[in-house]
Amino acid sequence: MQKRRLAFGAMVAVGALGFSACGQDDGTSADEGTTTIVWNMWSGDAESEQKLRDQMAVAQGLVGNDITIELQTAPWADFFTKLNANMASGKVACVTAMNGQRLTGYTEAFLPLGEEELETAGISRDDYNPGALSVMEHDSTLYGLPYDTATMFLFYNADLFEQAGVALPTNDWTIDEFEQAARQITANTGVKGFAVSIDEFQWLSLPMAKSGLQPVNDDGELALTDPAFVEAATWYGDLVTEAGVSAAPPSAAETAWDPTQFENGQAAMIIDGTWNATRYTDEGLPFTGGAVRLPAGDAGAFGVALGSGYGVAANCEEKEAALEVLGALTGPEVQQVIAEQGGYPAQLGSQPLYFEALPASSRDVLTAAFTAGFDGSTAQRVNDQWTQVATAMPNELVSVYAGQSSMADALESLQSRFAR
Amino acid sequence: MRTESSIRPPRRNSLHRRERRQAFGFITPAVAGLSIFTVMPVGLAIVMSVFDWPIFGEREFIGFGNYIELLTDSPDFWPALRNSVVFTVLYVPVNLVVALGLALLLGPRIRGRAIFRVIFFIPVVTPIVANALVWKLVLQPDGLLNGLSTSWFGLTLPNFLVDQNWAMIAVVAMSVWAGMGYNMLVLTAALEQLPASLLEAAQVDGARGWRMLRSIVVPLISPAIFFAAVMTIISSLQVFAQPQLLTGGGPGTSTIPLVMFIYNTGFEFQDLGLAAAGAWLLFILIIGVTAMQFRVQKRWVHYEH
Repeated sequence: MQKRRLAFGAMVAVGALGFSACGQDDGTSADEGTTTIVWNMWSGDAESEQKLRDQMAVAQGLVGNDITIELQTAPWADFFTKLNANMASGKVACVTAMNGQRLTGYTEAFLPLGEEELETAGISRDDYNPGALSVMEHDSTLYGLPYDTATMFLFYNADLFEQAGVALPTNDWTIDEFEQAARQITANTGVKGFAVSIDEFQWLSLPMAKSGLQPVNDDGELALTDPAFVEAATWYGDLVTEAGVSAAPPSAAETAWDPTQFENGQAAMIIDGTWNATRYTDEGLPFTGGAVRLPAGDAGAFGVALGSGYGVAANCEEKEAALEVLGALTGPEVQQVIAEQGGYPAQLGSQPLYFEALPASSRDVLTAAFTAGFDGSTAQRVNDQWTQVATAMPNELVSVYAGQSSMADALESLQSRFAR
Repeated sequence: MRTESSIRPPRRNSLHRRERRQAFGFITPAVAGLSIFTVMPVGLAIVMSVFDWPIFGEREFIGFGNYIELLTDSPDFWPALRNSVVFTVLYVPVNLVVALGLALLLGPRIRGRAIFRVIFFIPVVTPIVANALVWKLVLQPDGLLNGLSTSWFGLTLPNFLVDQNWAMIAVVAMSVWAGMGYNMLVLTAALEQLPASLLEAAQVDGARGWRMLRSIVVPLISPAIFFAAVMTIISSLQVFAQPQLLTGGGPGTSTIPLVMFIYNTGFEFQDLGLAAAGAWLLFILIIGVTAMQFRVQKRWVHYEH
């Protein structure tokens, strides 16, 4: 009898173990009167994690003791894969970070934010530049609130320019001047004047600026084979194969190759996002770094507004609390923290704080670059295939840089694989 | 006598029943684990593969639609299948030959052979991410290999990880290095079991060197070779980590194996139905190849009974 009970007990215990694995919730829990809201965000290292914790501390103070914010992070490269896995199992964290270029694939996971939701969050549309909210919009529905606004910059190593006897880049630079400088630096210093990229906007920005075109056209169709775009992209690939002003990335798995080249002083210029502006102008770097807007092509200056934000999961059980947390994380108090940490805030009122927080050594350069960079920038267009195209790009590009296939063939291959 | 026999059967029955219950208790954890973590996912994968099953949103039954899409329409499925097969065809023979070579070299006569075995086994127990990082440092243009070649011979080597002709070879080379230790151990164990009397008899008959290896040693350890071959083929059809970390599947699609295709389709491109169908096609391929091996083994594997 006792043994039977034992065996039965064992079976129940094992069964319970199995089912408890299936019974995890969607990122909310309410014990003892407090609600826990999970905030899922990308973070690559201890430093950026600490920045998020500092933001969280301020947000926690704003939402009070009834709500506990819990931070969960994954590195940028894995964030969306993990989010996909969470979506598949219905466990999307109540407050989840989203990147503007990725939003199209995730709209169903997020709660659309109407006037009522914004009111609960305590956020007004007037707090933003008219274009700033567009990064979190799809088909004119708002799915999240941006915490930063970004565009792409040209970053340069002033020491190498000086060494080569080349005048520093300006915010009025043209593509021709850029190429000229890259050639001179490569010839005069033996260090490559530029580092090409295989990463999404880090590589697309110059071909876009040169051609004045986006890889997705007005109708939302993939337009990688537009002759003007192909010509501009071919010029970009030739920077490695013909002009020799850049080395070639060693592997399609190395998406962060170009920043490493720049920071190690092995390339005088790179294209990267404004989110890294303070990092590349930091006094701790072994060289003096600077930033300017993207050089202008024949069609004039061209830049796209990028950005990321937070949304509330559509299946969140504690939507009201989640909206409060969303409001706190994107509101002016946390925006100020972000500005002091070197992030360019999304809210208009907080943007001056960014410049105030800059060290004197880089304040003038970055203020000028930000003013010029966001002037006339247009919204980035993406479509449903964009994630796939962006994932496949590095593999095609490394062949181009290795001189084994032409840029036209690579773009044609991407276009034919993913244009549906 | 009579009373004994009339009492015994019920006793045995109750014991029998009790033992059955106990056995039931003992196997429950294993069965529960198997059903929750193996049977259920496998069943779910079958269901998924006949649905249009996005990660989020409406699911729709489409019959064999996913399979048809993979076989006729998907731009990356056939290249991925080809890559998996090419990897297997290159990797398995090299792995077995190297492993057998090492096992023979580290045979009973070498002093300190235990240390060598440990050294060759280290890559097997090292995390593959660390292995890949080291190989990347060796293979990239400013890496060790090209550095040595240019400084010693003035010869610039190709950029192995992005060269269409070399990328797969680089992946295979790294995989052989990382995986040879395991098969070496399996074959070493088999070599040490060889009956000394038989080897002596062969020597007396004048068998030496190559002849000894080909006619005596290999047939005697053929069950171990068969085991190693089956397991290595299965694992190499499932290759994922090495190309993912080393080449990212590039250049183009030249090193994307089937498992990476499945992973991308499911978790990057959010099409779980298509990914599940891909996984089933991979399963069919593996089962088919394994069944064929078992059929062919009768011709070359010798079991001592």
